[in-house]
Amino acid sequence: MTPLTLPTQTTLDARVTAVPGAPVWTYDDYWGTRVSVFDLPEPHDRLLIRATATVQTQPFPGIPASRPRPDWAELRGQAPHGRLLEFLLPTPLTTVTAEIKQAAMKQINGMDPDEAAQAISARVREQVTYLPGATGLHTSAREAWDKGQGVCQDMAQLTVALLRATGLPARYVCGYLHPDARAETGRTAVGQSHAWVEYWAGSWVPLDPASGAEVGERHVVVARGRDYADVPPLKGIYQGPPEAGMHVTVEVTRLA
Amino acid sequence: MSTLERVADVTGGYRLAAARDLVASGVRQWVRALEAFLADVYGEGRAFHDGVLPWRLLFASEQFRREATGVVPPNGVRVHVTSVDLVRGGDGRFQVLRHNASVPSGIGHASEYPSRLLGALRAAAPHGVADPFVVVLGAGEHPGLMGVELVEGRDLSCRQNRVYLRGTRQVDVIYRLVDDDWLDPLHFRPDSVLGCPGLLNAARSGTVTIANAIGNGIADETLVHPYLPALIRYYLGEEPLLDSVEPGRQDAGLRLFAVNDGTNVWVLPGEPSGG
Repeated sequence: MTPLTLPTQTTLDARVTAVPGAPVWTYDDYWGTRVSVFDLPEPHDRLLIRATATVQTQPFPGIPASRPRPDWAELRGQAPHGRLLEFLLPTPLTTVTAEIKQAAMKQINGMDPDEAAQAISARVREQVTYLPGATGLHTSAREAWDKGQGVCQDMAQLTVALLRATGLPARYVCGYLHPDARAETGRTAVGQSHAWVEYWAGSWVPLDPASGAEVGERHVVVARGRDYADVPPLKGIYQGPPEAGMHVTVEVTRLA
Repeated sequence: MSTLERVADVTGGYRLAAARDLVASGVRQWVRALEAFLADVYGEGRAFHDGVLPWRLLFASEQFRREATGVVPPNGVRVHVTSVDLVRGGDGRFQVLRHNASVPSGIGHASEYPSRLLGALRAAAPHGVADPFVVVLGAGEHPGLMGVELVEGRDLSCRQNRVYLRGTRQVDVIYRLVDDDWLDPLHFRPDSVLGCPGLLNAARSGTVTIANAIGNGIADETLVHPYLPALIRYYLGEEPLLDSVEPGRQDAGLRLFAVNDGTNVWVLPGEPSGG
């Protein structure tokens, strides 16, 4: 739940606290995610985890014009042999059937990689209607496609799966989104945990299939991985009766 | 038949002492290469960046435990005990059929094993611990380790990144007979009751040593095995004393164990060395 510091984003101040109080230990994991850890052995009947951060964001600088973009032959020839292979291999949550792959290949026929990525993102928006509750944390890309309903996590994973199937390395991004394009300064808005995508076609380029918006200053990146399972916002083990429920609220305020 | 006699059996015409030295040196070299490989896999990945190993070896393996990246063992040892199976090829050279650097079995039958292994486990304790408290975490058979208690996952608990036995006594070293998947439900299989949530975090924060280290399974992968001689050259700058060979029609000729205490690699039965 701690935003990253990247070329397009600087995290100025971030804290994760737990109530009842517990000391929090942090480390950076394999994906570069800042993980906060705590344990709470005393009996308690509720647990509040609060993550706050002040983040400076910048718009996505665009695809670099200085070097030519690799074509499909270069991408499909080289990516599987380098470090990017990690974002090319399907994972259990980001596997699609041969039929789904075929449909995607047909759709992007004749397009260059960047055009194809945009087309795939748009296609996922058409295929999957946003409907909370229709899917769960463990829903796979293929299930979301078949069901035609899901949330941003499903749309992002499905997009990642399709991009990889065509030969484009892709990663799953999770974070926060300020919901309002006009984003008034000083006004706190109800935001969301959000998931979107980055693909590689010579450089990493972001895509947001769920909102369809251009990825920019309103997006705050928390973590990137192969799929949801690499970057869950919260996980843990607890002892006690079956949980009454978990509630998440996100508030985003534009400061400047 | 004693191990020494079996070495003689495998070595055929070799003078026994020379063969024994060669085999022991070769096994020590093999273990040093495994250590360097694991430190690299869970560190910078130089061998992959330099093209000595293909990235696919890493990313297509379920034994590559990303959770272990950045976990540095206190004395640098990840392979506290390994089993190495040897045969002798038609050309007379000794060959490694397979090794097990994660949870090797059968060590109970090696002579000298309890004191060497216990010495290695104690040497692996976090810095500054005067009298390390070692436990064996297991569910299966275990031949006993000189007064070291055998515990189950539910006997352990973690608080503030420290591991405790029955809630009170802090544990410094865990010799685990349990595979990675079952070791820590917080990071691996959440349905496991054989391990204890928080063990990996405790190891990462340096308050406990897990032996053998989490993530060693990548070194045991069949696809990695043929690369070991090349890795001996790459990491150690030495000519390999042993070849690697694919398990095929050969019977395992001889099983040896190597115990690494950070100063020496002991090849059982007893071969003290300069490491």
